Amino acid sequence: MQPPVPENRPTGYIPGPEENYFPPVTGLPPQVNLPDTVEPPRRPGRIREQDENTTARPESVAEARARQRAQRQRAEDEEREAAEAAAAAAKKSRRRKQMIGAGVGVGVVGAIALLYVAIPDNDGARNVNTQTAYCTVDGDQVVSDDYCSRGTYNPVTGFILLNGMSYRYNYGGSYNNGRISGGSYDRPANTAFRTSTGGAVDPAKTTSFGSNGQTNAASKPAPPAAGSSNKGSSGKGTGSGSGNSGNTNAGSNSGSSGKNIDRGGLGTGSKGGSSKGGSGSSGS
Amino acid sequence: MRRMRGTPREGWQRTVESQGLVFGTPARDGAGDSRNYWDESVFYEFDMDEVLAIEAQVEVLHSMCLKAVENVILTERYADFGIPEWAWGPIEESWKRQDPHVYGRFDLRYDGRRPAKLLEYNADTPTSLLEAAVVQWYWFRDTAPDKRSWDEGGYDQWNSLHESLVARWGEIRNVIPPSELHFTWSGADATGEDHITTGYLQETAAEAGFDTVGLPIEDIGWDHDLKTFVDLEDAPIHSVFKLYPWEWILEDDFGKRVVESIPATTWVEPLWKTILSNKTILAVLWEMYPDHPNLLPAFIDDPGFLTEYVKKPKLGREGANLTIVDSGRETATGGVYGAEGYVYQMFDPLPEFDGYRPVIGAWVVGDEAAGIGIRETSGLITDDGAAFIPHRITPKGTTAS
Repeated sequence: MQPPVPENRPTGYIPGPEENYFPPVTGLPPQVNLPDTVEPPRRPGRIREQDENTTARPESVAEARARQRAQRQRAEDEEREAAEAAAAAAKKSRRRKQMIGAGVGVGVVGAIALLYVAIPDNDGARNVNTQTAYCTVDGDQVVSDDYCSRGTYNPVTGFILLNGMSYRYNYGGSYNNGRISGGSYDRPANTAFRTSTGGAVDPAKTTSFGSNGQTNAASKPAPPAAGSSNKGSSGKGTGSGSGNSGNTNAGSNSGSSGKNIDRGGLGTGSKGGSSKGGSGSSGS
Repeated sequence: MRRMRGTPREGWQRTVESQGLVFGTPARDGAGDSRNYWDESVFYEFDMDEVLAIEAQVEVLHSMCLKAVENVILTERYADFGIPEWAWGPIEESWKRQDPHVYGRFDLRYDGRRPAKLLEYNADTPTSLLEAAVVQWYWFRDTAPDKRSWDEGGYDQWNSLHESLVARWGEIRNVIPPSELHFTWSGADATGEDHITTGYLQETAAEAGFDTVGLPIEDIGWDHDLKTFVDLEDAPIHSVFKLYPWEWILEDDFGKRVVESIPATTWVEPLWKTILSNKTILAVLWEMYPDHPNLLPAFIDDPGFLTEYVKKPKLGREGANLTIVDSGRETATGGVYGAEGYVYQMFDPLPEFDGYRPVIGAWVVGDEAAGIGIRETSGLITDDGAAFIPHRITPKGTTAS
């Protein structure tokens, strides 16, 4: 049923709500016509004043709980903010670097680095001359370079420990009848050194030091003689590109000492892209 | 961020050499001539806002990386990483046991304008540590024009590497056996970089109270009777830091023994880092966090929708075997990597400053950002011809733009 269309509508006529009537549609909830809003009778508002005699009204239970909750939350927030500020400050102070401890790596690392300073040929531009370094024990007695290259080097003391003995290189001394005189036990800068056999000066590959700067290698059983002749016998960093200590122990086995130890099963994939070297290990 | 010209210190070569910097293939300049690996004739400046922004982004990246490891392990996606099947179980155990980790280096593209973009994560065997931690710090101390602290108007450097490493070793002391800590590197590296980096880490551990022993990895022995790894004194190795990639260990003759020795022997970095040090992680991150502002789109074994991309071997090093495809042109570097497959990452060229292109090496020690080191090339690929450039932070209230 269409709503009745009144005749003779004036220009600008706006239909009232009664003309928006649509019949109920089956299956849909019935349309509810809300009554027009009726202005309630107006009541004048209350006027009160509070003065110094005014007291707080009693708090409701809900209000008391909400207040406690808010206060607890605020305390937690403050605590958290303080913790965050402390963490941020700690982080900032870490960023603002103050080196801790006495050494900052340069002592020991510098000693290791000396192993790799390039030794040029005699006509090389970097160093003007090449002198000889001798492996010594008991002050001035010259021994095979093997002892210096096999032991455990303590970069802090400068001594090389092997089988309970302390060895060290003498740099630039004069050799005479098995003894050395002059020279220095600290490696002079700006001078290239080779061993008497022409190898690189390589005070052992094993370095050992602890928090007190003292070596701890001597407290352990000395390495067995058997098999040790394979250890650390190669030079490295000679500057000619030929020095390479990798795989020197490949396949070495301390069998004759009663031990059954294989070495060389790791590190066989050498850095720089050369293919896997033959390790000769019997361990796998 | 800006590139500045500096005056090298008198006798700087001897200074940096005495601090241990004797390695490094000579870098190359724009004309292909050789350039010092350590170059203090230039440096970069950042303002503190930039440093704080990178720091926050690095820590976000690190936590996303840890979530990615978790995801790879849960979904057993090891094959995508080219990891041999026999190592899958031990990797999962290493992760679940939370085997301790020490450090890593994010390589970031950053220009001071846009968010930093992750190029790769060197999580297993990062080097350039000594120059970042020690050498550039002394350069800063020697050359800062204003010696006051940053708060009082002086300069600063973003560098807490040394203290952070000492602190991290201190934490690790609580979770590994109280024995000597061995440090090992590949003696096959004739430049000394690996030995010196290991020696430096050894020193930070000693400062934290560890008794330490260093030896080349080739000299680590296997005692068949006692079923343990031994050092050159035939003493058992209970815990060892290795500057030698896990993917090489897994291929080595003793590889299975190493994996079987865990956790009786603690190996640092831990075995689970084999996932992070693999560039497949870049694609996993993009899958997990698509459109993240610090990531570039990356895909495994296929460029996907990328038309300009960098093809990276999953296990490549020092910029080897990279191919850049840009506007139909290809630029490639040589090398021996790539047998394990490739990852394709969107090409976002390194920014250019005075004709050179820096990459930011952002260090993470433990789980916190600890400083940066910058390597700079004349080309688009940061390879072993890059030079190390120091940096400083401009005084409070100033900008570096």
